[in-house]
Amino acid sequence: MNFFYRLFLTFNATSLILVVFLVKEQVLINEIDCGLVNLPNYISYLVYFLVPVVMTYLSLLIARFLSKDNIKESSILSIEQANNTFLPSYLGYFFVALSVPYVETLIFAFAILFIFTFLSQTLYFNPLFLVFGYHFYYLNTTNNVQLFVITKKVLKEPKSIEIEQLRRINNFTFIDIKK
Amino acid sequence: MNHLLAKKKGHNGGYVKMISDEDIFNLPDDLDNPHDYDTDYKLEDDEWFGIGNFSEIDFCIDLLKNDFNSAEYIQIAIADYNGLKYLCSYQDNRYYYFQKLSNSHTVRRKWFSISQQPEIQNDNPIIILKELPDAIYDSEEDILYFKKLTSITTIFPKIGDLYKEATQKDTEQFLENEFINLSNDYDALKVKKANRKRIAMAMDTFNAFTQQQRSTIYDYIKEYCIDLEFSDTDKNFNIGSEENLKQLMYGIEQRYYTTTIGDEKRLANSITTM
Repeated sequence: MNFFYRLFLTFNATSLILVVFLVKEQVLINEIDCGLVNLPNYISYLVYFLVPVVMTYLSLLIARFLSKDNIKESSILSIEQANNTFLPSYLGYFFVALSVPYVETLIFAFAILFIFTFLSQTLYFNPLFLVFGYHFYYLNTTNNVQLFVITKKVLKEPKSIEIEQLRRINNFTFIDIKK
Repeated sequence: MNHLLAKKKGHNGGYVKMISDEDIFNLPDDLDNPHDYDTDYKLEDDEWFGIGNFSEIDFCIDLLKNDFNSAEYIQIAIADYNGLKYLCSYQDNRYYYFQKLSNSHTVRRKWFSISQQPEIQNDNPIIILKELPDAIYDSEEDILYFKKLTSITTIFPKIGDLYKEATQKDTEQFLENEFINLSNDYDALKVKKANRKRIAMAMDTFNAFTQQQRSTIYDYIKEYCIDLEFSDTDKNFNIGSEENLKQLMYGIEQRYYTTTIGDEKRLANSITTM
């Protein structure tokens, strides 16, 4: 279950490349049915964009079935915000998508990115989580272990951090499912 | 939230996380009035040994000294099950319950659950949780409770030091005492573990006796241990077997007594100071 969930998260995190590529190539949904011919282009682009958004929402719903954990009060030593750390890698993704000339090249580039995102384990940065109000943090525990936590809470004061409903995505990445 | 961890075997064996948010063990209701550890004391069914200020003692493990955070531990992998040393369940933000794992707790047989449509499980070994944990650590009171020292030595490796056991040198020295006459080729090399423990205890007791008290003890032992030969000329006991030595040790510890009513001679199997 956990393995497939991680595959799913990896796909969600990298799928924006495909969206950017489709937009660049001006592939439209208008050709599917003759009734759609007069639709403006941006409707197609919006539909493409909504696919990863819906899938990310699904992944958040599934998260509650993952293995449980919690963080006790005063067991966190320091916090590091990680909301912006995904930006460099995402810019990289976008440039790849914009400069890839053929579909084959895209598939190849996407496959490599997918594999490395999956294997790197700590990098499930999906900027769409931000759309749903989640933030990314690196938390260092009092026993000097670094955890990557995705949560809706705004964390500021290490001593007061207490997260009751954590779910384990992998051994370093956790998501707080409480609203 | 409660968490069940397991300790892996080997030098670098760390803890792995198994289950969360479940009650694994229940807190026994007889933890009040724990008894200080004493090899000579046999616990009643509803009693526990207790070691206070446990976190300050050498053999306390880091797990109990550090803050507990389940997210720090890696989730268990199937391959880990072959080498697990013990289970530790952290419950109610306060108690650590320990269960030593041995092969007898893993059932590798065919089994089925009790249900209307039982299904045979062939290749699904299960691990049995005991009703009572082997040890309980209360982090608020800083007390470790346990029933049997031998079953927690895998969990707290150095706790065996609580058992004082006479070394070969102590044993030799003790057997050279004037009041002991070795016979039947019996010597320090033949003294087994149980008697070494008794020697360790009796040595201190005996050395604290005055000459007068020693003679009294000899008379006391002669009275109760009819099998034990005493030479009146040399003033020594004839020790030719483990059994003889045991009787002598019990004598030094004054474990023999006579009932007030009925005059029955008895041996105290377990002693505690009132």
